[in-house]
Amino acid sequence: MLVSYTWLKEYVDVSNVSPKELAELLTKHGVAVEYVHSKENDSILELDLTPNRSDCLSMIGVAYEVAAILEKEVTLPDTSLPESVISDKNLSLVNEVPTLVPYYGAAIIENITVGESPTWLKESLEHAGIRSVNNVVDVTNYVMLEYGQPLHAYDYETLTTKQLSIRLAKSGESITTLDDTKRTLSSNDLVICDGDLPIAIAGVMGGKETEINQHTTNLVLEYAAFDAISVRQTAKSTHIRSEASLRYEKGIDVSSVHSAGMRAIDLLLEVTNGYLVSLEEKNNVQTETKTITTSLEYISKMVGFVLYEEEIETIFDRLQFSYQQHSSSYTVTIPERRNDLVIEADLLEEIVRLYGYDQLPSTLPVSSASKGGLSIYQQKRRKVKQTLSTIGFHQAITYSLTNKEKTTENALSLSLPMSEEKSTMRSSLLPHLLDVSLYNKNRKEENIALYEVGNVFTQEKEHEKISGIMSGYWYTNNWQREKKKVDFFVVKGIVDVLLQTLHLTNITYQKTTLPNMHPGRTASVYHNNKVIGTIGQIHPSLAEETYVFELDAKSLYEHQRNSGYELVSKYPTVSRDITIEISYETPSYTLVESVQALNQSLVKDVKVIDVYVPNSSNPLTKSVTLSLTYQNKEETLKDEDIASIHDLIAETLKKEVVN
Amino acid sequence: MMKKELEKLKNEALHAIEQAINSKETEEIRIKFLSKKSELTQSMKQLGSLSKEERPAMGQFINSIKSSIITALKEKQTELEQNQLNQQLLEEDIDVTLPSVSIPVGSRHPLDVTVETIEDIFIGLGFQIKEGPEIETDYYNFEALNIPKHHPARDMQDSFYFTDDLLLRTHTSPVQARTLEQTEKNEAIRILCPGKVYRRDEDDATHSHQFMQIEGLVVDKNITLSDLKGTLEYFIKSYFGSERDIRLRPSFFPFTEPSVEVDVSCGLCQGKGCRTCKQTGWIEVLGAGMIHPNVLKAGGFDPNEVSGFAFGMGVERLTMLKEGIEDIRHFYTNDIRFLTQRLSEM
Repeated sequence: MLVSYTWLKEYVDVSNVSPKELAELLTKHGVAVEYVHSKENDSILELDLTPNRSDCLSMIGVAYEVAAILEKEVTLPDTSLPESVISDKNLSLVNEVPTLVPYYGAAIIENITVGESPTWLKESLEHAGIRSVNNVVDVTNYVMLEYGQPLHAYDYETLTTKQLSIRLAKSGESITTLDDTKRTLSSNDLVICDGDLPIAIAGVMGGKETEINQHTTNLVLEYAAFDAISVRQTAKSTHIRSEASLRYEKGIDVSSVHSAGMRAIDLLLEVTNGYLVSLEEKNNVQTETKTITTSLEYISKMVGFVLYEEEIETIFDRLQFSYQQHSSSYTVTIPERRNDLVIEADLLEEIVRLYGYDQLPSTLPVSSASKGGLSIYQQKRRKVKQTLSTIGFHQAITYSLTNKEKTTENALSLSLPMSEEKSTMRSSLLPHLLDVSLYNKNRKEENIALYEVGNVFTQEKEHEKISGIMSGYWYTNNWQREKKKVDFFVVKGIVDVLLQTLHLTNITYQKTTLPNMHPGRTASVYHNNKVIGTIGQIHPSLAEETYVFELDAKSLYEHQRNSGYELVSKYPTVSRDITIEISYETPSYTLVESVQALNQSLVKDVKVIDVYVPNSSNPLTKSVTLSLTYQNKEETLKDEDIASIHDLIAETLKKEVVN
Repeated sequence: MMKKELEKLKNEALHAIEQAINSKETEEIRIKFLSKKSELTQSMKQLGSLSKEERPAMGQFINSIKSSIITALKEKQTELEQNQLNQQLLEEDIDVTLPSVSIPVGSRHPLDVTVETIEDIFIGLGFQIKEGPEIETDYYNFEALNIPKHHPARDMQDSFYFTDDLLLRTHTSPVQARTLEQTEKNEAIRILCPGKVYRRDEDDATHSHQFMQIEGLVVDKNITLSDLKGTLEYFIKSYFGSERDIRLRPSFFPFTEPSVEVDVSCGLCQGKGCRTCKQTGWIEVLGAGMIHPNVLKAGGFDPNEVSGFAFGMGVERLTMLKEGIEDIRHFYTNDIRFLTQRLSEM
């Protein structure tokens, strides 16, 4: 809405504030002014209205607001019924839908001269951002801007039946609108008809056939109230967003339809030199006085300090709301123009915004709420992110919507996607991490280590994943000729660190095959024999030497530390190695498991420290060296104790694993 | 031997020690002056020829000479060893300006850092962090928040729907609705709800179909508009700096009444007016208000018994304002050159 400062002066005295000051005051009190445009002899305030303040889609509405802020009176135009002449022209009205059209007025004006508008009218419209068309259309627009009441004029001579009927369109019925477009209507659309022929889409746009042109001599002026929801639906389905539909959609002030009509007739007579013949009005408006009751206690309780009767009453007066006081409560009559005010809280807002938010003290809530903070789950999530970012990973955040091709079978798709690329909810974080990795590689980033913590989705549920992607080198130092290329075991190390950080022990890895992954370099990660994630190399056809992991976040966050304090033993440990030749296909971890299964309390640790494949061109066997660490926590180990266990282990391994 | 001769011998030895330049020479000195065949040792053997009275004094004298030579010799050896080590260390000299081993160092995403910073500010005020699903029902996303059917905000064109009832949440406010519903009606609420939200926008410099919001909710007996103002003022000053001011302007949201838009004084021009703040001196940073009675009712609370406030802010917008980032798409491109700038960190 564009508000001309000069035009505004017709309704309210703004002489003591400059346009810029006025703009600041309006913004501060709830009618935001986005820009002040300076013109010759005028300034234009561009309002950025919130959807509830449709009352300010009119000059008079803005005038009431300004008057309330500046504590001034509002002067309204004269809207007494102009004199009419005797004529043979007539018109009848049939309103088939009184609930959707509570008010319909039509006036016949004859012997008009259609032509250019007077300068004041053209300028006013121009300052409001509306192009001047001719004196008739200009008056309808002028009054629409003045009252917020859309109006429409029909060429009387084009009406064949002289009967206007208001009804819902028949499905498939069509009309050519003013913009020369043929529109097919549905049974939800309200239409105005000449007899049975649609001549306008009510509240949205008039028809081409009955348009006012330079030869028009007699006209019918329509001033009506149309249902907001009906107009919104029609405007949407016909893709017409007119100044009229915009106002009807938000709900007009039903009480001023007649006044706006009279004002328009008066101006039409003035600028077209025509004569008023007659008025036809169908009024089904259910007038009931809308009141809101509030009290001093409520207001003071909600703002947080005591407001006095005088302060509140002054604000009601400024808003021109009449009220009745009963002890400490007020019954306030809400004018029709303020259809946004319905409940007590609405009235509270009126009081506070005129009182001024800058006048409110700043306090902190005194509350019995329990202590704040992060849940354990949330703390662990932070720990995961901190750990990964500390050990070299960059945190990424990627889109949840993705291409269906990048998801699994059970993925959830949008009913009306904007594009193929954003049609389906991701079922893994890895496809987008791979995209990010490729994006960075294409920009000469050689070493990639990225992770994301976020939700993935299936048709049944959403759950959180922790995923990472790596390629290139883990670390380098060129001048020392040292570098470590990222491989499966680097990523495995990352996963191990992460799991250790969150106290998950008893972690095992088992080879697996998964789509889009290297068939020989992919594993499931188990915690206490339950799968908690996967790790491996992306299939070389998709990416060059790129490794990933994806872990189920819940399994990590919900795990509770189950080891307590243990006395650090003062007795030394002893290490012994065993080398065993086993089948090439046997996972080396089988040896570790066999040792663990013996459950020997003196065996403190066992790990693989070397693997040697004797015949690498045709590998059938491999030599695996285990390092065993022995310790007796109670006393110094004796050689013979170690020797007997060590022999037992060697024998067991030969028996269980080698064959 | 006479005392005089012995004295001469001592001086000779001490001089030789002083002149020694390596352990070979000190060894030669040791042999020469302290070995069994040395003059000093020999002179001890001659003590027998002295009278009973002279013998102890002379013995003591010889011993004192011997110990001074030993002491001097040891000192010299220590000195020589020290010199040798120093020499060796000098040879181990390195060029300290050569590059380090590139220990991998990562980074946090600036949006996530902003979220955690804001979480911590509100945790200090006793807030808990609450989360909710990204795929929501129509009820929690709209209906329970006083956004009835036919409300313009429910336009199919503005949201991503899966079915008539399921959609990607368009704001974090459904967490409000869920928390109200789940909370015992005599309990107070103080929560902060960060999360991803989705709107049907074409991505450009200022729009993203996916972005992050942080929602706050406080419900209790006697929560006031002044509390809302104070809480947000505390937040703004904590986040942007204590020199910044806030301004509350009346606004409109379906789920709050009264509603306010909260502005922070422009940090670039100190409120004087510049391009960033469109000459107003103020920058809009969040929306807030007193919880609409219909929202409290939908959550099972009696608006006559309790009141509360809610606020919401855009994580991208706050980060962009604080760091001067011009294009929202940078956050979702994840260019490592952007991520390693470690933006929005302390």
